[in-house]
Amino acid sequence: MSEQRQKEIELSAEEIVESFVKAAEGLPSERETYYGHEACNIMRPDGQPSPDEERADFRKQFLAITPGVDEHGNLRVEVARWTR
Amino acid sequence: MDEVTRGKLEAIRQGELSVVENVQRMLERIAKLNPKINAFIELNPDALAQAEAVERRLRRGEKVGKLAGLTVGVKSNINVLGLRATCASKTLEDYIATYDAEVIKRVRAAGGIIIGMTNMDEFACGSSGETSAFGATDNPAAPGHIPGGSSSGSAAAIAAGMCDLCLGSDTGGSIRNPASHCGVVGVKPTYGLVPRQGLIDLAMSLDQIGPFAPDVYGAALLLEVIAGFNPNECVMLDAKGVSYADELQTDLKGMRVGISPKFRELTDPKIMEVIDSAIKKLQDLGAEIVEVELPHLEKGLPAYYLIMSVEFFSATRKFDGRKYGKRIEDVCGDEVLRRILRGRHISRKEYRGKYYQRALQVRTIIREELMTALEKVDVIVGPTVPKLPHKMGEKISVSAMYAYDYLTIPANLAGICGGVVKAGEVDGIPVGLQVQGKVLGEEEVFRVLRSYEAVA
Repeated sequence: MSEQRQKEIELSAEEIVESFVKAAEGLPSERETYYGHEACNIMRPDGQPSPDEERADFRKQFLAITPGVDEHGNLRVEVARWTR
Repeated sequence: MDEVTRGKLEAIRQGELSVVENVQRMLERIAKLNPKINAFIELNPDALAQAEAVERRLRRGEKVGKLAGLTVGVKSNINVLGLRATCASKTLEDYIATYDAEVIKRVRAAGGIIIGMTNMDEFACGSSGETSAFGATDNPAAPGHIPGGSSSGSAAAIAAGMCDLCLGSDTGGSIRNPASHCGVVGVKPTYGLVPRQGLIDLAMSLDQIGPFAPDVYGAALLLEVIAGFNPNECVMLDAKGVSYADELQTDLKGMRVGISPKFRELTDPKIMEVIDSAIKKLQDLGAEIVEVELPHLEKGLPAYYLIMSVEFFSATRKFDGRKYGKRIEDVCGDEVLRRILRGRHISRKEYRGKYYQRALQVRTIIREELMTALEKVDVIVGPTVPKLPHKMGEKISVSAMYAYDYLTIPANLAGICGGVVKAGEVDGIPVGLQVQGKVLGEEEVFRVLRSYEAVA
């Protein structure tokens, strides 16, 4: 891709971002929604956070599918070749 | 077309159609039509062997799953062991999946035969089906026009009768948009209902895998097979034992169906004529039509494109050419690069919550408007896409391309479900009726889709 084409694409990307700022002007400031279902928490109709034992279960399941864990229980990710 | 899937399943169970014969017929149809339509980019070389295995179980009288003998096409951003998960990009053109996504495991367990990988917009970045590195897909229902996107191949494959069912993914309308343009049934499930494990992300807080089918029964059946809790995912809803296909009703007595004047403001009048006529039919079926307010609906579009770009920028950092594939920026198309650069731009300039944080606030506004509306009604109906599909190869501006998504994005931002059924045609081009439902309101959505299908 030519440098000029890349510049054009970058410019159009930035223009869309700036047009959003204009479109959002005048709208009220609300809290942020990161995930669609976090606000209504339909997994727990009582609206309470999960109890400790459920969290421990989740951690156990999560660790069971991770590539590796060190002696302190921290997740071990792959060591990049260029660091060796 | 309204009972094609049920009829095929019956024929297979009764022995009137063998599973192998079904797969062979589909492969022949693909061989005949795909050179023009370009819906499939890879076929499963083991499809016939898998068909024979299902056939043997049927002949022995063993218990088989709900999809036994049906052929299923899979969007190329879902991992299927041994087949390429390319995302229709040169970045991953040689990447062969080393495992089955959770939804694929469920399809296989239900007796579905994976027939191949379908074409799509590159990395799901598009609404036209034209940005694939493997060439554009044609629209079998309106030849020469775009099929919509990004699940272009999946919708086109169903419309052309190349397979029985398909899987797609929907981040801002990528199932519903092509379903509308191709005149087939497509459903975006509630966020968190279907496992995303094995789906290559576009935007992880918005993506959801869902079904395409020639009829509502087929979409309901495939969704109930793939839906349900997966303990290995942290953003899943605890929905167990969902059942849609057996619950399908064809009357709407007692149902409250919402419509919004906002849809008319944003949509081509010719499309609205078809939608108005469809709404009248819903009323004749016993639905009570109630007007709801969605005053900021159009603000969802810019907010979506910011959120999606930031998440996509993050998701693509792994495509650096070191571990697998090629470096994405070196080989991708214009639209993918535009979204990456936009995400990078926002990430660099994000201060005082001007961009990303602000977009997340607008997401809350859209979500709350839809939730408030859905407290008054069971579903909201309206058009799926505000304008007709352009002709293949026609150059349109970036903002005109994004405008296809005005009416589908809000459901993704809110995490609610939505389905599409063909409402009619404008100048021979299909127009889809979109039915949006509450969180886990798929049953009501299917009820409206099926009722309409039965009288259309």
